[in-house]
Amino acid sequence: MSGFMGYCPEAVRSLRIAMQAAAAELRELTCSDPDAAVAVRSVRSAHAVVDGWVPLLAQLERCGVMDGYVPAVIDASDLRLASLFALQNGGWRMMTDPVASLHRPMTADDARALGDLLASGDIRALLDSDAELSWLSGQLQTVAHDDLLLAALEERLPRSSTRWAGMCDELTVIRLAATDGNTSVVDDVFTGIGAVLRASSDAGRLFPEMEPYSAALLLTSLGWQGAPLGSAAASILQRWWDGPTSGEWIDDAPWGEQTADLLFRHVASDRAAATEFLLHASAYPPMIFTSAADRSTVDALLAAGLDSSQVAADVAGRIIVPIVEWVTDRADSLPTVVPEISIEALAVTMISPWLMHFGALANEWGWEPDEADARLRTVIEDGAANARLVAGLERWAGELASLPLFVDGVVNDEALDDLAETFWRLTNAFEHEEIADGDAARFFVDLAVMVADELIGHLPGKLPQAGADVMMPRVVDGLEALGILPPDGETVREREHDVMETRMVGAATVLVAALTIQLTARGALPEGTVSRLDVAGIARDHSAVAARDRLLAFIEGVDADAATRRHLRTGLNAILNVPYALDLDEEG
Amino acid sequence: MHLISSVGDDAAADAAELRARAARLRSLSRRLRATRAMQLFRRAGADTWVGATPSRCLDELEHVRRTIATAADELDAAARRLESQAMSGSSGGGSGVAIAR
Repeated sequence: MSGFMGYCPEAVRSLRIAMQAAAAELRELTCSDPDAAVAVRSVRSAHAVVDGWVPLLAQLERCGVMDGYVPAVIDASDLRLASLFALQNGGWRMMTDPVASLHRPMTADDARALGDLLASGDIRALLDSDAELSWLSGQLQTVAHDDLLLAALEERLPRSSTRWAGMCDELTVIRLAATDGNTSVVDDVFTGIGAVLRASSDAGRLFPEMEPYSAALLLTSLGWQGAPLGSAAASILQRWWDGPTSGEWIDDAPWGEQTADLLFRHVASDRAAATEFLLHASAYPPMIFTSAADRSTVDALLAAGLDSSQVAADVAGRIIVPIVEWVTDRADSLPTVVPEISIEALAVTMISPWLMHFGALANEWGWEPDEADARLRTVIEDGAANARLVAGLERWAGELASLPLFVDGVVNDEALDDLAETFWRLTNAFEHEEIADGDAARFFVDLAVMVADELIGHLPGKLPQAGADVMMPRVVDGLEALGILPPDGETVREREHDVMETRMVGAATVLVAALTIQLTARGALPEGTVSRLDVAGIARDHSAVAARDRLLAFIEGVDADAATRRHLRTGLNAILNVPYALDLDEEG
Repeated sequence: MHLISSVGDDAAADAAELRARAARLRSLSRRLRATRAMQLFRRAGADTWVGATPSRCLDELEHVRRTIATAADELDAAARRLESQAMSGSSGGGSGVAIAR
């Protein structure tokens, strides 16, 4: 256990006397009856055991040296000797102990002794070996899970004591000095401290008493979740960002893991905490984007905290708007360390699930649509950001899916308008950046496929069966090709456009047919109007331009007022804006 | 008649001897249970000394206590067996026992 033993001289003397008396008594116990033979042998054995301890006890009384047993004095530098040190202070004597240790359950006295030493000992000396650190982490875990031991420890070292902060800072020094990168021994002690402090309301008050790096390590060990975790993490990073009152933070170096890395990695594993963190930190965007050594942690944080399937749009807006404004307005005076991920690319991580709010829904976030459009263009001027936006399209599917184009079989006019405007703005943004290569083509093809599938999935039952039969194969045609096409090459691009045209024609026809049926039901169009839609003719067309002309001709020919025709044209344009953006309108 | 009477006397003597042996075993059992060695472990705990050697001492003294208690139990069991034999020897008219011998 420790290599030492401690004893109370008076009690040992008393034990020795009792041992001698017991041994004498056992020696006298005998019986000649054959049925007592086994019992007598047991008595002889017991006598030998008891008698065998007497010389050792006698030597201890004299404080004499024996083989392996040498008088010793315990100092306060070894945490594992906390109990013996306390006993020594109480008048006990110490000896080296050559016997191999046996596990002994921790007692309340042990916990008090540990508390004493941690409260008043030289922390650096107490934690100066891996053996002591391992031992301490085990002891703290034991204490944390036993109310009596915890109470005993607190008698000597309250959980509100700033000694815990000093201990954490010392552990941080050891952790940062680990040249082999193995920090598990130190991290285990943090886990132990976290377990002890977990239930204490004072834990959060300790953060300002220690290095932010130490506070981050402690926070990751406290088991906090959700908003309290996010809020505490933001507070710790804010303090790091503001800087120390003097000198430098312990992790203030241009290399290695820093406070932000620890915090981001931990907070990103808890979506609610990540959102809460970003709500606090978004007032200081540079703090989010420039304080971590590993920017992949920023990426993880943004993805978790702005998950469009979990976070309300208004909450996302409170985070994204100030950040995007900073990204697009920021001066070039920021440190220009070449990062593995550009700030703009990181920003796209949070933008891509919320693309609609850079178009039709911009006003929900207090932006004028033109402003949102302009800021999006600025962000994707960065090549990496542009590539990310294209690649991140899948994440946007969640938001698109939540925009019901049909509700109970009826076209959602408002959603259709939003979609049309967002398409239009995205189209222009990409055109402005001259992103008409394979990546952009694939982006719009994917976008078109999603919309087309959404529409086809809601194919109105009243649509003439012949039309549906013709249209469905065209809409699903080319799906296989989409997944395997490389992003460049004129032939490939043309094939992509063909696939998209096919889909867009199908989608536009479905939409116009659905709107026609709907307007008929409302009395805005005469009964039977939908039968005038030349679905078979559209199916024979080989370009979006021809299909658009045929659909426009149908719209212009319906017996309706100008408002009804405009409504039909809006629906058509919502879909056909995409082909236009890619210069598919070969006729100009 | 003489034969029967003689056998009855032997049986009574045997039963008395069995009872005497049983009494000696019970006496030893009582002395074992009362010996100081049974209580030594109480003096060898953390109030007296702590460490690996003291832990081993405490373990051994607890083993001593269990050994002596087991020995006492075995003596009591042997005593009961002898008393049972004495009882059956004297109460069965004794002739069966004597004839058998």
